[in-house]
Amino acid sequence: MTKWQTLLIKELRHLFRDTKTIIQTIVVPTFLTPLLIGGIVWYISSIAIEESKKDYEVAVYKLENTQLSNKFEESERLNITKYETVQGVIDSVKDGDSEIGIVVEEDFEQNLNKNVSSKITIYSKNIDTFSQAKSLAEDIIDNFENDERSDRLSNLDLDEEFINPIEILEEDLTTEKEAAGSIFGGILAFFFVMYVITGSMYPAIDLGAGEKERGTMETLISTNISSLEIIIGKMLSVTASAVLTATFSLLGFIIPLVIIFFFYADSIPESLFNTLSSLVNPTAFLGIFGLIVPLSILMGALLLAVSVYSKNTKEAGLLLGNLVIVFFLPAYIPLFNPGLELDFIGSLIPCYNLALLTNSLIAENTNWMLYFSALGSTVVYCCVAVYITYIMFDDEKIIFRS
Amino acid sequence: MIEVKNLSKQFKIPTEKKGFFGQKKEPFWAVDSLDFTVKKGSIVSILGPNGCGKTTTLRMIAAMLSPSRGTALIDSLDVRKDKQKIKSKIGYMTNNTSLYDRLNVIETITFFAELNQIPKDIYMSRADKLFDQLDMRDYLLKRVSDLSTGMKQKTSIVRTLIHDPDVVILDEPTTGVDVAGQSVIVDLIKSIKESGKTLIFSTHQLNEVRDIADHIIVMKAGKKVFDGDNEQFQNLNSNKSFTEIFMEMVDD
Repeated sequence: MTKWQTLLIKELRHLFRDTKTIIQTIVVPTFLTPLLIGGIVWYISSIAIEESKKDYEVAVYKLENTQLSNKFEESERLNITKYETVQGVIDSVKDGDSEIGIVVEEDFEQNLNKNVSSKITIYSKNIDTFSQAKSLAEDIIDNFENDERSDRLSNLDLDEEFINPIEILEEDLTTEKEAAGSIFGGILAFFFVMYVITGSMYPAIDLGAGEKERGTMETLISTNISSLEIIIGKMLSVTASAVLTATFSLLGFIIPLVIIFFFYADSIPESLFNTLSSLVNPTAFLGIFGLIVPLSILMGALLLAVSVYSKNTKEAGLLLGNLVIVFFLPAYIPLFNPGLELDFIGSLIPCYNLALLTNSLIAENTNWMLYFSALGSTVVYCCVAVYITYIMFDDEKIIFRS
Repeated sequence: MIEVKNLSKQFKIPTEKKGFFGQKKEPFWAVDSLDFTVKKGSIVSILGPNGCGKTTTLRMIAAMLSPSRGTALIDSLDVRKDKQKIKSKIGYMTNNTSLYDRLNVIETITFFAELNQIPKDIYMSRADKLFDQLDMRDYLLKRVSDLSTGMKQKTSIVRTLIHDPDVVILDEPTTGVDVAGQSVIVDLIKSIKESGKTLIFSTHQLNEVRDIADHIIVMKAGKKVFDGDNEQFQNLNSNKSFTEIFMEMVDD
């Protein structure tokens, strides 16, 4: 066995005898995260369901005695309260007494009769995203407007097509795989990046700053193992932990999917079932793993370099906390911009390329030139990161920095 | 033989002056122009108050730190050029036990033996002898975190000797060890001498030095203030004790 292999085995044994590593690598990604995601989805769904059954208070001004007021009064979920002034309506919404306010202009009915436009102002607080009050009111107003338009056209003996010279027909050709890639690709990639980081952070701190703090680094460098062999052994330990964490996080997604397929297949909509089925794609996951491994080495090397530079575990935690933001941010961007497409420059940005390639690998529309550009650039970054770590380990000022 | 020639080490230490990036640093000679020779098979003790450069000197001899000036030759190998070869000839024990808490004693010894590429049958037979000598048999499967300080120190000694080094360097080996443990370590040092190895150790326990050292080097503020054999040291003033002679030497 070579020296770095001996070191690697020792480091893995030492790491995985620590409960913190087991929790971080296996327990959290496999069990806690799916539970957490499931819990959040359940909570949001339950709020949405509750909102769909809720009655809303609506403050109105000058709505009475109009044809529109009858429509509002027919609504089962909107309770109308009349106010004497516009300010009264605004205050009622501001104070939370009413969900929305509707103000109809003074000459509303007359304008309608004169076949000109009448104005309605809807006051609401748009931050309440779950509230359905505004959409319910808008539906009533839209229906009223459609009836009014039809009446005006029939009075003029015109067909509706007269005011709609072009009818746009939409056909969504998105495949189930593309939908799956768009919906789950960004989330999956974000979780992979998150777990690669969390999976490598603790081992990096333990094997770098932790060893300096405990004095074992001095013992290690007193032996005839070279700096290069030390970083290979340590970096592969950190990488192994990161890849394991990513693997278990993948299991954390697969296990709930398997449960859904076997036990709840009949109770979920067919379109959702087909989208979920598209996720079970071995080629996509092999492709994703092909990117995750060098990314793990890159992170392992960089985190280890920073950890070794640190005087102690406290300083390492602080510095690494800032470093991981650099990795997190590029993975965030595609999550909030689902329409983004990977180009050559983007393929050179670690984590960002993983996020967008995860989408395309699941959707089975990968541009393999960009895939290999991403892979190649990550391998180059790895070599640079390993070299930086090597310099760190070879510098006695850093090794004995305390 | 170990030849230390003009060995010096400069560090940059923080001063009270503040600069843009924190405290300003200025050069400081932790070890300054040290010269001495250690005969093969002898026991050398390096003495001196805290911060006098003992550990830095030992680290430079063990090829862990590069000298800023001068050098040390270990059997004609230069610490500046032949680091890996020197490290394989040296067994270095730091001034704290510095072991992996989550490994047991056997795993610790196996790790360091395999790191030195020693065949299993050879290192196991060496380890067996040392385990018996240090009375460690009942603790071999215990994790280092569960051992007493004394037993950790013994484990540290076994891992230092497992590759049968020609030169053994012990940095304050009896620190934190109880009286019984100290006695075991002193006996071990004597047995290392009997095996023909060269041993250099630093300590604050002057009794140990008086009893076992062949050669004494006293350092003060990075410089050598005494270099001679044990008898010469004690003959510096026959009316004074070993400790009194030492204190007179290092007092400002």
